[in-house]
This record gives sequence, C-alpha cells and structure tokens, in this order.
Amino acid sequence: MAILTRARGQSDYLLASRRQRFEAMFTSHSSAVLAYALRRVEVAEDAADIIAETFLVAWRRIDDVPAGDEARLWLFGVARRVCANHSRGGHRRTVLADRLRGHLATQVQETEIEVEVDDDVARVREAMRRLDDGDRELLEMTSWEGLTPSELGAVLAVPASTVRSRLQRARARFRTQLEIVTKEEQS
Amino acid sequence: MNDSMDAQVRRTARMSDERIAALVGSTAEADLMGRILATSPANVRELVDEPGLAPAPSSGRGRLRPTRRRLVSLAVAASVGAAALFTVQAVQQDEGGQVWAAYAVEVAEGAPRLLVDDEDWSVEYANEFEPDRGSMDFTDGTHELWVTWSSTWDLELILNDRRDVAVDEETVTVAGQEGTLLTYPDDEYAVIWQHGDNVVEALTLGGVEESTYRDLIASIHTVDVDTWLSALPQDVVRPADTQAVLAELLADIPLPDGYEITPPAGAVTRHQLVHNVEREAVCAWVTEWVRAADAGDQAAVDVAATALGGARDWAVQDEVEHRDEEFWANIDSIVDDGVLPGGRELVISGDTEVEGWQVVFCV
Repeated sequence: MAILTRARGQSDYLLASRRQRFEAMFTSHSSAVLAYALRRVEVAEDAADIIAETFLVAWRRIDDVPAGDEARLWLFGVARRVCANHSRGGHRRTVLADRLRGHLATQVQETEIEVEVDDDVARVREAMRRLDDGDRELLEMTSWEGLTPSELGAVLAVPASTVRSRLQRARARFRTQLEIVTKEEQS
Repeated sequence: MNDSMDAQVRRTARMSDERIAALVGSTAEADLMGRILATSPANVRELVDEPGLAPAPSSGRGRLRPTRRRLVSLAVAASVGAAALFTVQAVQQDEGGQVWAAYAVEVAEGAPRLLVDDEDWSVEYANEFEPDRGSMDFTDGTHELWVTWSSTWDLELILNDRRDVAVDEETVTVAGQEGTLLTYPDDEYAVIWQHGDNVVEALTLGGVEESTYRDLIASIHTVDVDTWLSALPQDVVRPADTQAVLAELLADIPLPDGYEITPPAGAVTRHQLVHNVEREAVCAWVTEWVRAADAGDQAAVDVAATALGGARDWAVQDEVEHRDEEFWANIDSIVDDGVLPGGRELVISGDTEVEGWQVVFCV
C-alpha cells in the first residue's frame, strides 16, 4: 500500500492511511480480542462492549499502535484494563456495540450447552480463585491466550525476565493451593 | 507453564475454545469496525474511558511532553470562573466590535477561515491551532464534517495519497475554489483543494447521503476574522496565557529542585494542559526518586516519596481523568514500600526502548 510507505512528515492528518491501518489491525486481531473478552466476562454480550472500548482506544491512538503481531499484544494490554474497569463496575455500554451484543446474546442462547464441570475443574477453579489477581492473570494469559513470557511482558509493560520470575512464583503458589484444595476435599 | 498445568487452567475458562470459535468472526464484528471508523477521533474521548495505556515515552526531562496533534474535546469554558483570562476570545468588546488577541488574529489570518453556512451546523471541536495548520469538526448533531488544513501540505501529494483508497473522483467548486471530490467506500466523501496558501481537506465521517454532502460542500464559505473566531469553541489557551495557567495548575504541586515545566508552543486547551502538567509532575518526582535511590541519597528519596504521597491531593486531580486504582497502587508501592513498579529493565514502548518504570509513570 503506497500510503503506508510514503515519506513521513507530509501531513499529520492522513486519515485515509489511518483508516487502512485500523481496518487491517481490526481484521487481523478483533477475534483474538473478542475471545480474550469472552473468557473473562460473566455475561457473553458484555464482551461486545469490551472489544468496542478496546478498539475505540486503538482508533484514537492509531499512531501509537505498533505494527504486525505486536498490535495484538498492544490490544491485549488495552483490553485487560478495559476488563478491569468492567469488573470494577466502570463498565458502560456503547451503542456502537449494539449489533455485536445482540449477536453474542443470540448465539450464546442458541448454542447453550450444559457444561459439565467435573471435580478436577472445580478444584482447579477453586485453587485459581485463591490466587491473587496478578498470579491468576499470568496463568490465565499463558494458558488461555498462549502468550509467552516475552509477549506477556509486552502486554503488561514489564520486562520479560520479571514475567518469568513472577510466572514461576505463580505456578508454585497455584500448585500449593491445588494441594490444599485437594486435601480439604479429602478430609 | 508446563503442559499439564496449562491444560488444567485452560479448562477453567468460562467459555471453551470451541464455543468462542463459533462466536467470533461474525458480520456483527465487522459491523463494529465500520461503526468505530465512522466515529471521529475527536469523539472517541467522549465515548470511552481510556484506560491507562502507555503511549510513546516522554522525550526528556524538564520539558512538557509535546501533545500528539489530534482533535481534542473542548471543555465548557464558562464553567471555569477565570476562563476568560485564558481563552481565545475577545479581549475587549464594545460598540466598535470585538478586539481579538494578536495570536488569535495571526492564526485566523493564516487559516482558510471556513464555516458552514447552515444554521443547523456548528463547530463542535477545534484542534491545536497554529498559524500554519489547524482542524475543526462541524456537526449538525447527526453528521460530522472534519475540516483540516495546512500551509505545509502539498496538494498533489495529498491527492495521490487519498486516491489509493478512493473509488471515484470529480472536480467541484468549494468556497470559490476548484476542488477534487473523492468518493470513498461506505458513503464517505472528501473534498480537497488549494485555498490560498493552505491545502484543505473536508472529510465527512460516517455514512452520509451524497446529496447531503454536496449541499454541505456548497455551503462552505470563507468568512472574516471576527466571524471565524466568534464561531470557535472558547476554551483554547493562548500562548500568552499558558504561563498563567501553568502557575495556577502548579500552585499546590511541588516540583524537584531546578525542575521546570515549559509550556508547549501554540494554542492548546486547558484540558490538555491539565493532563500534561499532572503527568509531568508525577514523572518528575518518580524520576527524582529513582535518581536519589541510585545515589543512595535517603533524604532525597524521602522528599520524593512525600511529594508523590501528596499527589492524590493536588487540586489538578479534580480535573484529571483516567487515574485509576492501578495507578494509585503503583504510587503507593513507591511511597509505602519503596518498590518501583515496572522495574529498571529496558522494555520497548512504542518504538523506543525505555526502563519499565518510565512506561508506568512517564508516558
């Protein structure tokens, strides 16, 4: 695309090229962001507002969004804060997401499946619940989003080495909690 | 994480990968993209509480970080008692008419001074005006027209850039000048033309009937300095007033010895100044805390920690948005625990390598 390879400095307002970049970013990563939100909201349709807010930020800050796959990590970084606001009650609906919200609500109802939660899952959930937010987030993003420590570092804006050590401690605490939960069940 | 633990945690997700796969990639998702793109960047601030995300890092100490050139929401100046002192508005008004500040006149004389000749349309947003560039957002409550201009643009470069995405073009007359009307997908249109020294782009955002856009373009006209300045939102801080505004904002904010915040060039809004000053002051104190800690200067560490501990009470916080619990937890980490969030290792922020704590506090 010629627009993306033009010499910089001709204009601060090349909206057309910004639109193209946003469209490319949205097309590439919207599903990943939506999946991220769906795993974290209690009501599926709320994920529509999470993704809407996340990409509104991206649209406003399109000049700050890195290129390529780094954009996905940048978006996760925004989405986690939007989710945090959501969980703190700072959530507000945007009309922009109306259609997606309706789609999610309908689809979830139509595909409602009784998920069988076996004892193992219940134990793991309880162990996870007992972790602090930071540990839990690291384990979830590693497992659910499949992020490496380096990628997590980019999302959390901390060095990868810090993530690795935090992750080690989180794993250890998870194992400990899982053992405790298991023993509690047995006793 | 080892595979076993990874699998265990994966099963705790509220929704399985299979179910998620069935929900993503819908046309409703694509619809959202269109809706966001139809939103002026100026309006996004109103639509979303932007979480504390790191933009490009500060370019250096002691200088107010240059604001990105973008449309900003203008607060209602009337709500600020002393606002008249700081706004681009008539400094005198009598039977002889308005007398404008010299800088405002300079900006106005350099601008194409375009307005929409339709009582339903008004100026909703205005950007950081400078003599060689500016931007305005007109709205009738439903549609938006984003008009930007610069005397540094090259008409052919801009046109060639836009032609890559336009699906049609024709020659039209706008504000007495010959312009190029470009049609983009999704019923969006733009006219680009040379207007004196400036190249102007008038872009509609969001789906608009072609006839509506043509009527709008036909109603764009050039006005005199008084008329144009009178139509602007009234919350732009004049360069001549920025020192006074800074002094007001910094009245109860201590700064490290020798540290000065330099006002930005050009006219900005109070909203921008408020956020820049608060961010700069926090960054300055954390930077000082790091310096003192490195030097083993416990007294200076304590001074910085005390200053940061008082940041919640700075009067400017009444006007600052988006300082969430996470931000204050990071401040408390320094003040109460002597622990620097973000750490000292280098990380990539935007396209620059900085230390982790700078990402947390200085961008």
